[in-house]
Amino acid sequence: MLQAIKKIVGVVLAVAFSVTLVSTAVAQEGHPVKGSWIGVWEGNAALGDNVLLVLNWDGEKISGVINPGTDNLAVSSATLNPDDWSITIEAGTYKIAGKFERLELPNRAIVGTWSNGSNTGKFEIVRQ
Amino acid sequence: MKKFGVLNHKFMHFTGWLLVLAAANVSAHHPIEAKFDTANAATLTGVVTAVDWRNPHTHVFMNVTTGSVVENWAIELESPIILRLNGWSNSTVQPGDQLQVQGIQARNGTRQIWGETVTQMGTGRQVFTVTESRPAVALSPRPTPTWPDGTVALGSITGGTDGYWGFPSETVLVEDGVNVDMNNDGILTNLADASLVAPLQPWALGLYKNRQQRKLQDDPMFINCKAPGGVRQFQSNLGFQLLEDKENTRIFELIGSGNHNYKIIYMDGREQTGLVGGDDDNPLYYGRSLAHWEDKTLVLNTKGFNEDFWFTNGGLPHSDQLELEERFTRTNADTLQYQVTINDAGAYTRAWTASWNFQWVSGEDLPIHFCQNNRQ
Repeated sequence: MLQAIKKIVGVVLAVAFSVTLVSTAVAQEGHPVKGSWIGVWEGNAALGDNVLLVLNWDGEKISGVINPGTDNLAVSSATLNPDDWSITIEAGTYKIAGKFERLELPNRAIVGTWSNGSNTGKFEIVRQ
Repeated sequence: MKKFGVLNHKFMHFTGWLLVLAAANVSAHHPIEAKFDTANAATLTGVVTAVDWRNPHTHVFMNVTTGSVVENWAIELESPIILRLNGWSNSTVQPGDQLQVQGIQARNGTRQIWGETVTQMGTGRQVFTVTESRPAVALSPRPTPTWPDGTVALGSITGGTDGYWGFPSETVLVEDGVNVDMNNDGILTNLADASLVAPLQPWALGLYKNRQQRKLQDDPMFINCKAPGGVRQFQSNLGFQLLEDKENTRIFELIGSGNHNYKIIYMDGREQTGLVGGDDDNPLYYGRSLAHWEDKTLVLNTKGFNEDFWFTNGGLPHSDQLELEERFTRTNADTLQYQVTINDAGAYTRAWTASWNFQWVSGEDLPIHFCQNNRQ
């Protein structure tokens, strides 16, 4: 009986810990773009709807890569306008234009649109 | 047995002391304005149901009756440390006591009020009043204490009493020579002054303004108990101690405002291992500090900071390129001059400098303070 209770408690704790891990974004109080971002670019028939970005700030420019390890697209240019927290990102033939939401939180978001030639759609990523 | 700057011995004879009590604004553990609206005052009368005597803020819970409706309100007060220093305890009010509370209400509309005045209805006695008093100030400066080898002692010395450095003359970070109006928490009176505070890069200025507009309510030191890294440990009345381990050529800095955090300042000539981008495996809240003496000034070089915290009161941003040069000069027994040069090419357009003083708090050990999650 005791063993069974211990097992149940262990499972509950493990699940709780796992949930905590996947739902908590790592704090980032520096440049808002830094970090890993996961989300969607809806209607992207070429690469699929899911998208992952890893972005960095070196003090002068934003750099990064889209979908590292799969459909690698290096960020060729990116600009951030801190007056309205709008951001543009270019990678290959893709262009992304969005705005920050929940800037003050670790799990902030960038929401906007993506385009690639005549293809376009909603873009939304959340910092992990 | 290592030879530390000894804490538990007589420090030196006190002569020519004049007790000067200087009323000063109490440094709260979070900006009051972050949580409470100064434009939304209220007066409540009710019966105490519980007292939560815990850092960072004491709470008294009280049932308030309006017509036939009874609602439980939380009255937020200063920290137990500050209240205790002012003669109050967790038994000052007890369940069943009737109180009248004047204060300002929570911004989020919950039943919380910052208690500006708390009065016991039966006796009319005002309780939980706070008047912070700085330690005694010497009538004439006592000489800087030294070790037998003639080097400056940064804390207590053998034969001295306990003590720590506290009561910083500034609790905010502003470039030397700049005059802007802000409160002790670093909230600017005029947001338009934001660009004057420090030479911020555009993104950092935008983020600083955002934090200011939100009255610093997102401060991770408050909501997540993040460490007071960077210069922030030197902006708190909870103070710090510098314990010199001469045998191992290092100094322990004990930090009053963290959860009994400490850092080691190495003076053995080792190379700085804090890398730009942080120590890749383990960037730190307090960075990595090396130090040497320049005449009678201890000069620290610190880098390898992470970006998980606010490095100063007031919400100025930093990057992992942050590098601090800190200069500590004990000009007399009771005064420690502090000058910090902030070099952070990730967030600022140039290096810049700020400075303030600390006062020696004699005869006392660091206050015991543990942060507790304060999201609610």
